[in-house]
Amino acid sequence: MTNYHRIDALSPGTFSLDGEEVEFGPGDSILQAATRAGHYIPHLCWHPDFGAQGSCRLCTVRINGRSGAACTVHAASGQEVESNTDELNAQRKTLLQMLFIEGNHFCPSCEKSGNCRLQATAYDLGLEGPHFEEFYPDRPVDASHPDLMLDLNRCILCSLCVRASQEVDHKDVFAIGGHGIKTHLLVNSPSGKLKDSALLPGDRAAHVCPVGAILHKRQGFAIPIGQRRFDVKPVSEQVEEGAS
Amino acid sequence: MVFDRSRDMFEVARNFAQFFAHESCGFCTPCRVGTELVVRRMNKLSKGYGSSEDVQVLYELDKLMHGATHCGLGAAACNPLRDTIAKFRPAYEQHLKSLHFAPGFDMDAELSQARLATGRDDSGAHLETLA
Repeated sequence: MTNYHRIDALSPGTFSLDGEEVEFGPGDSILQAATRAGHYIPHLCWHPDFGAQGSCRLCTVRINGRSGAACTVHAASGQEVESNTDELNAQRKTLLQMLFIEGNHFCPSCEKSGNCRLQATAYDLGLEGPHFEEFYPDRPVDASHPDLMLDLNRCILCSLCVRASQEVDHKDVFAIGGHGIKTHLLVNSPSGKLKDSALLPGDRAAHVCPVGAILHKRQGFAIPIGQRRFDVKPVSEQVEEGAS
Repeated sequence: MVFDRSRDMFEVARNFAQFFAHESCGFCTPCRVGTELVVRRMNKLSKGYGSSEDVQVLYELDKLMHGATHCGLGAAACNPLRDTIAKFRPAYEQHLKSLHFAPGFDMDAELSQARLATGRDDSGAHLETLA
């Protein structure tokens, strides 16, 4: 990956986020700087520990009037960034609705309910329904691994597991394949099954999924629904803890 | 592009919609799902099941994809659609079920059954007065 920064992003400075001044360091993206300063910009595919991806588009903000993903645009002095506006939040709701209808998301029966970033962000933005017709895709569940299970029905293609496996575990267990609406998560193993991959329960990739696509077996409902991370406090008030 | 009078401009736009859905790389949410939603809307209109509401949704998808996609493919995917709706609207309207047909789901009317069953008639039981 090229480490390319614009000249103005090499020196620290401040930009304005919804009217508040935010300090940034050299090479910071808008989202990195905003998060460090305790400001919440909705996001799903970004995580402070990994390189930016820019695919979910939830963090799309207006920078000097132009649209851009806050996770991939470098902070620069004097930027006027708008994030918490009716227009952008309406756009985020539509993007969330798109993520819900393209997969099979049944929160009440999902082990991740209450700890799920997709669900929490939807609650936080006041999502009331799917709006679009649901696709109900036919996606397989891979329960072949002795300790982990992969339910692609819930995958939102954030690629956090791909990046965690590459950048932290150095294993390359996951990849994204296909194109268009048939884009899907792949397991790099001879059989394509999780049991034949190098994934272990202690790997970062096994803990990074923001939704319920990668789950640990025999650990269901250890914390009861109602007492989980986002049951206690909305996602927008948990900025300092970073992304899950 | 030049088309003669024998071409149905709605079908031209539908063909474009299928092209962009096929070409979408699937990286970003608005393009991956948006192009597919456009195709489904266009196919619905083509079968004669569409309403003016569907044309409105096409407008909304166009607006979203213009501002939110990762690259220019998604941002431009609805251009043929927008231009043909603006300049050849009758080509679309002849595919609608009826010009004045509106899908008939009245949320508050549906709630009236629940109000009857629960015996509630307070402000929290009506959509327009719900806090």
